[in-house]
Amino acid sequence: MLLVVSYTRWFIPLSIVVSSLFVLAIIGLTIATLIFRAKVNKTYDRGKSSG
Amino acid sequence: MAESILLFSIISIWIAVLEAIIIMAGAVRFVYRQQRTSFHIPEDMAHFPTVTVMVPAHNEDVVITSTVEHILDLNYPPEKVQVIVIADNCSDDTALKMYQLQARPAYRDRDFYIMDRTGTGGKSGALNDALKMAKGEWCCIYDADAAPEKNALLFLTQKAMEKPEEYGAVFGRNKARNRGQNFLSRCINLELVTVQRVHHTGLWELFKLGTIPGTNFIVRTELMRDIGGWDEDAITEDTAISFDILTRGQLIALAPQAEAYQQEPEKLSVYMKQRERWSKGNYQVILDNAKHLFDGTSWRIKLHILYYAASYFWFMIAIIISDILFLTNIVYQTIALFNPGVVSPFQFAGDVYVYLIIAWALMYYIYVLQINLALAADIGQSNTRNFIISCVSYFTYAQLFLIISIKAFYSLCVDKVAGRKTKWYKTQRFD
Repeated sequence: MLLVVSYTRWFIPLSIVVSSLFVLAIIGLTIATLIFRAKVNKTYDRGKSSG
Repeated sequence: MAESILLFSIISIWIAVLEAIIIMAGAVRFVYRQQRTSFHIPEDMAHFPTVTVMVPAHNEDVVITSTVEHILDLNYPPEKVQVIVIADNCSDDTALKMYQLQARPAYRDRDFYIMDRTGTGGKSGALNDALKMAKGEWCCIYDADAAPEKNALLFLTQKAMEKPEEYGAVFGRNKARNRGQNFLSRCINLELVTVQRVHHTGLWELFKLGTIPGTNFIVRTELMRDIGGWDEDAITEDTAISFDILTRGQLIALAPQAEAYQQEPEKLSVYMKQRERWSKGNYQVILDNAKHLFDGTSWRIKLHILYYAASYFWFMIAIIISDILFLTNIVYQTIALFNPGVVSPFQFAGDVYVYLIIAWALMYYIYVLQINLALAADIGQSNTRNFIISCVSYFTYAQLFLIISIKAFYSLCVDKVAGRKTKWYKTQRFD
């Protein structure tokens, strides 16, 4: 039980930091993807073609 | 024990997510940079190198004529192109169809050789026989189902000419020409687009790291001869040759505009056989090259081995374990609705289990995001249907990777223990 308590003491804060950093990075990549998609759509008038 | 398994899963998934974020960041930088780059088709190609185009074909009479027509019609000076079609142990009309094509007035004056071969070694053996006859400075390989776009070869050689002393090989992009056939071919299309437009571009942009894809690439003829040709014992000769090129200090460059269409499996059984061969071949290449992790070879080779090893060993094991944790807990929680006395064997302290779910959710999100970045970069593919398939494919198509990897690893182990030689399986073509 002591062992469990000792590892959660450092692992949970580490998880919060790592997860937060990943979320920020992924938000950045999502915005970059949406901007890129909008640019390509505008350039090629994507609405008229289909895959 | 359960706590250790949980920690292993969480940390492994974090590393997988980190790898995905880094590669995607590279891909984003690449696509933004490429948007600002203009490509030109030169009027005068007198300074372009000579190329030997090799097409290994084993019982390919369904598709071979169309493929070789595409190759003969490429926008490249005809006097600089030697075409060798290797009819490898064919029991169908592959060679006959080629002789008929050769007799056409349009192609009568072309340097076009048909090798009716009965030797051993599969695709590698066929390519090695053709290599002996190659006259071009570069060898270009197209599979028998390929349909290169008009300027594909031009873009490949143009890239090679940028840094001739550094680039030992240049590879283009392959697209699925039968992508709309069914759910499987649509999923394969998404995978192909993502690998080529996110993974390949990201690795090239950040680390100048490339892998030969088996078709639609060129390799310097002298380098190929120096390597000793294609490895006839390799199951995936393309990955094996990629490592051989890298260990000689040469780069494998990406020419993103060099595009070719290829046929993908339309039946699950054909797909499973093809991917099992690929997985087995990649396991073999990882094991053969693991020694480079500890020798004085370039950091690129070490990174390349780690990338493959992580994808095929580490992350796969982590995903299997986390899947078992999820499914077991879901099953126990469902049972507990009716019988509250039942307790899952995987009980964890504090909120640690929540972070496994968060890590998994992040991995799922970046999986879908990568596909949609790739789709946005491929004109006409970013539509609602593909978005829905990208969301669904994780739970269906992507899970096949686990089954394939386990089967391939088991088969490789049996081969090693029993001293069995691996049989080369040719992917079935469709009309």
